[in-house]
Amino acid sequence: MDWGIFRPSKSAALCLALLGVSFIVMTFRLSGAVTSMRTFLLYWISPIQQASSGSAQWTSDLGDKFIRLIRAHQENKALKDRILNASVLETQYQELLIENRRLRGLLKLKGSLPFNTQTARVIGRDPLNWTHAVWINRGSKDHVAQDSPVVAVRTEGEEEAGVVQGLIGRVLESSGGSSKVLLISDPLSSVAVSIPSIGELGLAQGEGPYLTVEYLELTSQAKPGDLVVTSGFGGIFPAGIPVGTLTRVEVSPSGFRRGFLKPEVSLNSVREVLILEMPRGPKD
Amino acid sequence: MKHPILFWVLTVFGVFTLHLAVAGNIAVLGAAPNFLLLSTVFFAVRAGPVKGEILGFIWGMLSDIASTSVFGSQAFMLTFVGYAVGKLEGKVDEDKYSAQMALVFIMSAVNLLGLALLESLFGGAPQRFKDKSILLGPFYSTLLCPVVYWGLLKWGSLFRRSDLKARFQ
Repeated sequence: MDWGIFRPSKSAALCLALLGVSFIVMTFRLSGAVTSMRTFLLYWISPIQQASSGSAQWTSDLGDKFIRLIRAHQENKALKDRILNASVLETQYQELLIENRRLRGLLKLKGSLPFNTQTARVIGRDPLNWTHAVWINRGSKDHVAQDSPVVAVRTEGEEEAGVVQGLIGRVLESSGGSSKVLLISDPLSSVAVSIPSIGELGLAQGEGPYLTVEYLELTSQAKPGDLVVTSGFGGIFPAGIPVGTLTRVEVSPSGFRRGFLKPEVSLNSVREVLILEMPRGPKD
Repeated sequence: MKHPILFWVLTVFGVFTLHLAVAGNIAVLGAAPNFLLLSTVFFAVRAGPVKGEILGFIWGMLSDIASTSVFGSQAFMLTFVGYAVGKLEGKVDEDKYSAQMALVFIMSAVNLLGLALLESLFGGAPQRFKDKSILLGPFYSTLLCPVVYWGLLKWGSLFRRSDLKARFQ
């Protein structure tokens, strides 16, 4: 038989095999075997994620360090080392002061919450979907459980420091020393919410850059400016955590009213978070 | 050629680390360059379809683990890109930036469309691809193509990879 241009070659056969493996993995991605394989690989990849986070931090500080070095050199050659050291120390001091304030806020909140909490630092973001997932530096070694709620804490101001600022998301996967957090803005994320000012319930749905509140009744009194908080239904998030503020309300094609939500926390710039350890019943 | 195995191991993990560390930090208007696709195209067009598809598969799998997309979707698309570009080995002028950039742009668009399709088929989150900023990704990757390829050629020359046809030596 003459295959002509369709003559199978080594590269075509290998391509078909690799595409086949990918297809099988996609089809059975929720099965135990594939999930276990993914968890195993995630364990080995998390050090790369942490290392890349460190290198990114180093890169972002490089400009400041360079400018500081040039200034010290221009001022006085003999005092260059001393001035450089002093300026580095001062920067570190300022950084520590800011960090201290943030951590104090977190600690203040830790003592006031009715469940155990852990502080964590954001060490990376999902490169493909920048606004959809972040990596934090606490993992299964720190007993971080899947689906644990993750919140941001207000760190500015004496009165407000230590108050929960808003919901960030939930732990999607946990491995070794890091975990992946699904942000509330991800389209896969749904959060049962309520609008305390009118007592209505809805479902906050991630839409990428913003969120929507679905399934509000047609007679809903929801209006722009209303605060939306978690309702506690669904068992993943505790009630009362601020999610965002309504910016617009309209009638959706499904026959319900739909609200557009501005997240309470700037999900792009969050650096320190608090993981809530919720008591969970045994899984079925 | 010096240390071929070391070269490939370091290349795979080096490019992946670069992608994780840099891509997000240089995002413009929410669009980030895809270093994995750029590198897959680079090696496929120079080293042929077999190496292109294997590298695409490995990088895609690593990226799938690190992201929230449907597990296996990026491996699928980058394998396809590696094979398709590899079949053009010897037919594309590796020294012409315009040809390389056109190839990267077309493959970035194909990759994006393929990922959106796979997300729809496998119950992922195709809404992600409605975000207009993601459409800037192929343009961004195309613009960075000369810089990344210059870096990869330099990297290849460290290991005396004559098959990568270093232009800037």
